[in-house]
Amino acid sequence: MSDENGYAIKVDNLKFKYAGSEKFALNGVSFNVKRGEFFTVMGRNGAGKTTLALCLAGVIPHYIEGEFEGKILVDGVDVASVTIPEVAKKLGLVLQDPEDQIVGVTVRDDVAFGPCNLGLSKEIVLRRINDALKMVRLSGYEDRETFALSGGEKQRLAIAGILALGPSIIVADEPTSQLDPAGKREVFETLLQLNMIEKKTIVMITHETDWAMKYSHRIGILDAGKFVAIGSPREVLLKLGVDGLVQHGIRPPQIPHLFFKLSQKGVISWNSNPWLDVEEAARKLSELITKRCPEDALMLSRRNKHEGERAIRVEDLWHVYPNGIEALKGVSLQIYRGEFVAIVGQNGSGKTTLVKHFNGLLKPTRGDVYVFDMNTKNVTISTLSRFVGYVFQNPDNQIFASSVKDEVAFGLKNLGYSRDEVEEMVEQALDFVGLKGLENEHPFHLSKAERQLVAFASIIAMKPKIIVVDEPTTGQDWFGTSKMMNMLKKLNEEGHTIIVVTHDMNVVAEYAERVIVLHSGRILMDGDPREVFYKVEDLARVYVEPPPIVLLMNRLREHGMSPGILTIDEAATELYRKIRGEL
Amino acid sequence: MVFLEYLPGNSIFHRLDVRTKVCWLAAVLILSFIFNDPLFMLAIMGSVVFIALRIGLPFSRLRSMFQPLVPVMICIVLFTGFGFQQDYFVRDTSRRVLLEILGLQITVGGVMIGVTFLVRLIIIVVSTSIVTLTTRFEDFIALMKKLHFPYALILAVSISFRFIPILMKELETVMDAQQARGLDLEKGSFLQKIKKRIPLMIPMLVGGIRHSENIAIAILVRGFGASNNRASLYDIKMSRVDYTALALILIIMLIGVYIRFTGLGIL
Repeated sequence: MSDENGYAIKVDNLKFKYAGSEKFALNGVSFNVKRGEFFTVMGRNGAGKTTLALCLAGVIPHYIEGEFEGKILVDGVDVASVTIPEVAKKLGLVLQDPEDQIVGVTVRDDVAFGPCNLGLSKEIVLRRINDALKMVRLSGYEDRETFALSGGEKQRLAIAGILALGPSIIVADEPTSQLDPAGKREVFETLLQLNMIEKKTIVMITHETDWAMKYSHRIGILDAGKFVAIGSPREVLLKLGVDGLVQHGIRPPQIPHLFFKLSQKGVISWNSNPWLDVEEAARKLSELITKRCPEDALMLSRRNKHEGERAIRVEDLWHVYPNGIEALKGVSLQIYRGEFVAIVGQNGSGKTTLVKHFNGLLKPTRGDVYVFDMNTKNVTISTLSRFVGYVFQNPDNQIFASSVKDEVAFGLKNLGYSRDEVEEMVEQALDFVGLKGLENEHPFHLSKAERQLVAFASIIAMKPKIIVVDEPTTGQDWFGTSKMMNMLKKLNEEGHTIIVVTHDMNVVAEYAERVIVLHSGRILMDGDPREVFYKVEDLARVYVEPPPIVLLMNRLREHGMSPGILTIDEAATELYRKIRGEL
Repeated sequence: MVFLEYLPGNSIFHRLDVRTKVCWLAAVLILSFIFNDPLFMLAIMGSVVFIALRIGLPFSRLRSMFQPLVPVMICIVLFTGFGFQQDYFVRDTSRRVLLEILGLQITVGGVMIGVTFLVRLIIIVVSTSIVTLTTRFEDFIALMKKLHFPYALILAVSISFRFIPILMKELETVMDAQQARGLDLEKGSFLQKIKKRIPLMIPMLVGGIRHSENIAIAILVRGFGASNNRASLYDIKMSRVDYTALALILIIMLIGVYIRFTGLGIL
């Protein structure tokens, strides 16, 4: 036992195949996690991340059946040889969707669930509730009803529910994927504090590369059921390189990516230490950029400015929900044909309420919304659906047909197209999203990413001039995200007006020509992301954080950085000029 | 039909034990079923509405709940008017015929029974709402524990209750998503309208299954089933007020039953 004491988790050649599946979801995973470590697991969707988490908690093989091989020691105990509750006392599992983890009507009730299951006395249960809530900073919430909590609060409550069982290890499976930026920050900070103050060992699965690089002790990159790299963020970066990360479906972290670009230009050597975060890069760069750098500003290509035909006109729009909540308080704006607009703002700012007015799902309480000069008050949703396509976040909220073809044809049939037309339009749409050949598959046999494409195809098949997309990148890995965004870009180039509601600022910086920032039902800013994103302080006040590259360039402004830089390529070009100018 | 959420407050009714409240509800329902004279029914309704006012029941929402039922209510009065013929009634006044169409008679008693039905409906909804509005969900759970319901069942009830608002929100999203694809829920014949529910029902069903799979994992990793000896955080306790209230309920109930058996309160 003594040599086991340094390790919280030891996994040896773990293999698992789900019953009924032909492929091993995990195919020889070996790794150790030291006590007190913050270990992050990253990888594309379908790499086996969730399966690994379920194995660590003993859900596999005790509850979910399949072919299981290998050995997992948690705190020196073989997971396969004890019951799930026995594992739960040592290792707690936090799942993606907080809704599915909350069983209690009130906060106290919910946290009590675990310790009561263990048969502890009332006094101990109450003490555990108290301690657990303190650790996630929810003290004082005991009597609150769980359904009224915010997303971030719900996920912290889920963590508290796990902590109350007294584990020294927390495994969190994409705990922030369902949350807005404010909620993400809350949950990340909670996990970090549990690691640093409570000395808990943390294993976190996430797609948030920038965050993982900055805070993890070690990172493991999982692909096709195996770790392809394990080590400190720097080691992993040096081993795989930016291209390697992309190959494994991981969004390259922006700051190391910039470092990589600069090394390609010969400014710095890749094998020295890649910078991991904005602070470090700013410090190093201000040493590199000195004295005689060129004063002139980089010529940045202007983002397209559209004027002319109006696609959408919103005039003094107010919306009050039946429960009295004023979601929009006097919004006026015009969206021109062919624009690529991003609408951002924290949850509750009114983003979704606003875009739901564009296809008539919501009608103004006061004011007017015009779509191609039709007042939405006077036309039905189904008429508007010919002009405005609305892609919802979760494909499973709409998929119902028993074949991909029928699912995509649904909207077209509703609009009354003839059979031949439907067939042709379905084919075109499936071709566009790259699902050709899967026409007769059952949608539920597809992966989530593919289902997302089916849902998307079912909208673009109707050929709407305006396409609204709600959170196109949530829960997607880097492949899914870039694929979706490139399709939107292509549609935009073909003349479609694109409106994206998103929390993903990297996407906004990369693709949008115009960004509208909403805050408590009003438009706070509206303009070119090159200008809007540099109002860093104003944005911070409404929990909008520009991409790391923008933050870095903003910090280096005193060194004469050209204002308005948004992408890594632009930053690399500008820095190259400034650094070489010194020579 | 009834309000499920808790309405915070500090009335006597709020402070009564859940068992007392359930007894009260039973008494009110029994009394409202043994009489069929509208006057007696109105008296019972008066007492129920009085309590509803004291606890601050949101009547405006009650009205919006009843409004769509008005045509149904009118039908009830008409049907009972025709449905109960003279020989059903004891009292002479009730046997009076108001109107005769094609040999069918509308009797005074029949119309009064219709009114009784309506009042009974209101009593059932309002009294049940009073109990659910003034009782915390935990107290119902504690009551189930006291009655030795199996814990798995109590947990299932508890989770279902928690999921009502979540599923309502999901249904809204599903409806939005299908309408955005041109599904017109308003148009079409009755049969077509039913067919149009399929695109709503399947995603809800699939979503429900997905939720239940995740919930199963979530409760397992929180030690569900580890021990049968669960501590109870809330204890429901009968106070002096409760015993007084129970005695009062019993007396009123006995008086009511006695009156009924002397032949009063029927038509």
